[in-house]
Amino acid sequence: MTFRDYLDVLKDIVVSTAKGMAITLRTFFKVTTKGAITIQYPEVRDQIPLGSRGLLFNDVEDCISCKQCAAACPVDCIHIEADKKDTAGTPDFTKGGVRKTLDLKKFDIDISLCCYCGLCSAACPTDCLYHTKEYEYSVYERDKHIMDYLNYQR
Amino acid sequence: MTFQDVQNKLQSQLSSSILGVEDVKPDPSLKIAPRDIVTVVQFMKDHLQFETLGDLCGVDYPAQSSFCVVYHLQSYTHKMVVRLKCYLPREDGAEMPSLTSIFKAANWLEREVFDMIGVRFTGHPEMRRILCPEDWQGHPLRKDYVTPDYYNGMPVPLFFEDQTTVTSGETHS
Amino acid sequence: MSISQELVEGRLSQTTENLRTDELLLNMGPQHPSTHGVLRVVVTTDGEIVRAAKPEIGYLHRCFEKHSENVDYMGVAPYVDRLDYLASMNNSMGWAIAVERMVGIEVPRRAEFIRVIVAELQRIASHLLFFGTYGLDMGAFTAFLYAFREREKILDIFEMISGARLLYNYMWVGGVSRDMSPEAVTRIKEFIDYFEPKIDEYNTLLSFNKIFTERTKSVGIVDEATCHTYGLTGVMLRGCGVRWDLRKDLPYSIYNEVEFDVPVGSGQMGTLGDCWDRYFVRMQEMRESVRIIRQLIDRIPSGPHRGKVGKVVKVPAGESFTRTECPRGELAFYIISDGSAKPYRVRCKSPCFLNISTLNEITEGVMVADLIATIGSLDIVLGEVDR
Repeated sequence: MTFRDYLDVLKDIVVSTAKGMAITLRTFFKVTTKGAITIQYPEVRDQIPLGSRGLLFNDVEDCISCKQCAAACPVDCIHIEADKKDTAGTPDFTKGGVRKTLDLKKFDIDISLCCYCGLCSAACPTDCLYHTKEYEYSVYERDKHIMDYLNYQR
Repeated sequence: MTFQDVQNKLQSQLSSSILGVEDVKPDPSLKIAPRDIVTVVQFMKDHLQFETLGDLCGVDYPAQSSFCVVYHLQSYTHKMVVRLKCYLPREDGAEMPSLTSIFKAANWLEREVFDMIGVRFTGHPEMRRILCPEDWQGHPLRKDYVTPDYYNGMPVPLFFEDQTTVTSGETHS
Repeated sequence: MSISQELVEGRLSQTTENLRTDELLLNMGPQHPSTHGVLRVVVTTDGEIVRAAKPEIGYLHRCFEKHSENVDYMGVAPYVDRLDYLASMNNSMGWAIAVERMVGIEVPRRAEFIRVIVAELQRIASHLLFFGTYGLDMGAFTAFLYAFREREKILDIFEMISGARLLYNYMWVGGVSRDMSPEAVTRIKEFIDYFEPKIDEYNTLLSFNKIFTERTKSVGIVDEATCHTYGLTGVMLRGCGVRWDLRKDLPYSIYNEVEFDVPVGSGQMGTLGDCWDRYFVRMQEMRESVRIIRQLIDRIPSGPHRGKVGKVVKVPAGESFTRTECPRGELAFYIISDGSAKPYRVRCKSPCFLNISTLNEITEGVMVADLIATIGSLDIVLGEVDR
């Protein structure tokens, strides 16, 4: 490499970097005049779109204990126990008008195992199991991630 | 070129190595005698323009008491893939000739087959595990594989205090 | 005896001969910022020269193939998403096509359109991440921020369409899980109009920057013979001048109805098949993806978004090997079905696994800094290497 080539390389470096810096400068002015893209998270929150898959919720009033969600779950994080309902009592119906033939004894979801794939809520025939928009539910103990929907409190 | 052409050409040239055709849907496959695999692949590479080894994997068939090593040869010229299958007796010391002399891709793929199924490849430069740790016991993709309870003193699968388990599929119902 | 005395007596050459020079074994990773994941490279260095660079993988092994034998065909889809977690849509498209091919399910036209649009958006997002992190590897931080600004917009669109930001589980066997809303279509149109001029900006910012080209030209050269013997696909293959793209050569879905070019490496900066060629092929592919989306977005037909598929997908006994073009190469699923609800054996042929296996060969005798440039240009995702 001659000295002249070396100078050419130096010139290229300066010119191409200056071009890049011009773009950076333009973006800088845009951000300072029109407002930044970054939001101040805990104070300002992004709008979560409709149908976003967050924490699972089961409305046990509507659940018919069909266990289709547990069968569809690829990680087996849904645990359901149900007994046969006493037929002598008054028939129990869901909001959609489906008769409940089983008595739900346990509906637990281990949220720490859940992979938010949405297969369980798609399989649910009464649409009682669905994803809420909630996404902040860190806890200090791992047991607390087992959601007991029969005694649900948050 | 179609699968039929490949089969005809191979049968006319290397009839003793071709054990037959497995007519499975949707793609058929050729059965090759395990000891002749290097000859067949070399022939296909040199004369039938199968430039690349697309995939190499092992399958365990405990019902037929055999291992199967599956080769997918890929051709850019003919825009097709041909599957070759070699059945081996299902035993711990099962061996296959290595393809590393023809395709360098076989190096890692054969190591993976050894790791997962336990078929050894003779003539391979470094026949050791690739995905599992070196001191792992057993070959996970065999159908009768049982996850060990402990690995170096750590419980496998990981038990939490509340007995919920993170499993590797073995206790899946 | 002092050095000056040695100099006088002409014995200095002898002392330099006696200096101990040795090869140094350097452990790069598994937790190293420039390895893009938990990859460990055992590097043997001779001064600044790399003598051998052996990748050690398996730190992210999650038993995908074993898991798939224990869940049904629909249940494999979330696991497939987690293979190449930067291009989940393309992965699940590959899985869906593989299963549909075995069952013989007809996918509705609308679903095909949505699939291709979404897959191309994902390709842009994946290449953008490559662009950003490759700049980061080369010491250019600004490009990273630009890339993530744009990627964020794509992820927002995906969240609107599928409900998740990274692991979507959107493409199901037989179609897509949800229909695409008109608002999402508008958002995508806005995005491609906004994004296309930005590619030129990136080229000015990084691609033709002299410092960047000097770092990447004639480094990590892969020629066609190496590609074939190592089974390299995707950008690795196109970077060395081979015009091979499954979307063009063996079209699946509706890729035969759209017009696009297959960019290949030209060696315009240095040697054909160097890091810069691979980098620039990816930059051009983003433009082609925009072109594909632009052709499809206005003529999405109406109709159902999912074909007639039962709750449990019944796959007849058989075997299929189905390849699709993912951002990192050809992803293939080899499925063996015995007719039951669960697959007998699923084999995932991952392109990254073969791409990273060349590292030792292509980095022999390069400088340590060039090793970083080469690893970056392979664009590996360890989730797919280890499966």
